[in-house]
Amino acid sequence: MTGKRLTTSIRTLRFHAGEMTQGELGEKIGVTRQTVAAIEQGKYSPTLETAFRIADVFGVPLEQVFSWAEE
Amino acid sequence: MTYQEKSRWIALTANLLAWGWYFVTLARLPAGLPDERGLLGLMAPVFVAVAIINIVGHVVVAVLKPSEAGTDLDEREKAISRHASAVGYTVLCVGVAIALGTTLWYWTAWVAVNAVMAAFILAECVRYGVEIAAFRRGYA
Repeated sequence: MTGKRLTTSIRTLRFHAGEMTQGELGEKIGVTRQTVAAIEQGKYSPTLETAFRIADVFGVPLEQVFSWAEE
Repeated sequence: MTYQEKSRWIALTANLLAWGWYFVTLARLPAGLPDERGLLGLMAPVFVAVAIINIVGHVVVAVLKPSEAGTDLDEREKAISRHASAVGYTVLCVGVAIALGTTLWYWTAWVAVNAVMAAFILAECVRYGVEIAAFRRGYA
């Protein structure tokens, strides 16, 4: 998958979920606030399990949380 | 700063202070290495100091933020820890090889003990340093 990078819409989803904080999301999915921040900034790609947990928190399909973007 | 990062700072500080004092003291001894009893007398307070700094440091961190105290590593922190351990292990292997090589020329049991101990402490400090840098950066 060269030439593509993983992007996330977690920031937007948090905004639409009543400005949920990174810490609150982290508590719900079992990671630290710093890990949520790293995922949002594209510095860290979460495990499949955590990715599904994030989607579950917002009640959306996985592909609405993560998608590929051309570099 | 996460609890895990604070924990690594405490461990790194404890090792640098205590073992730094040990090796500087050893290097400054006028008559070279002391006998076994002398070396054990130097090492014993180092082990105690490392333990005390770690215990006091973690207690202070726990008191200041009880909600974080004793939290397990999350998946990103585990990945960082694995990466840092791999780097530290490489440093340890190279350090031990150099230490053993050194003892071929300057062989005594206590030179070997100190050379291997220095390699071990260096590897530990590198591991903590790599972890802290990765925690700051976001990922390994």
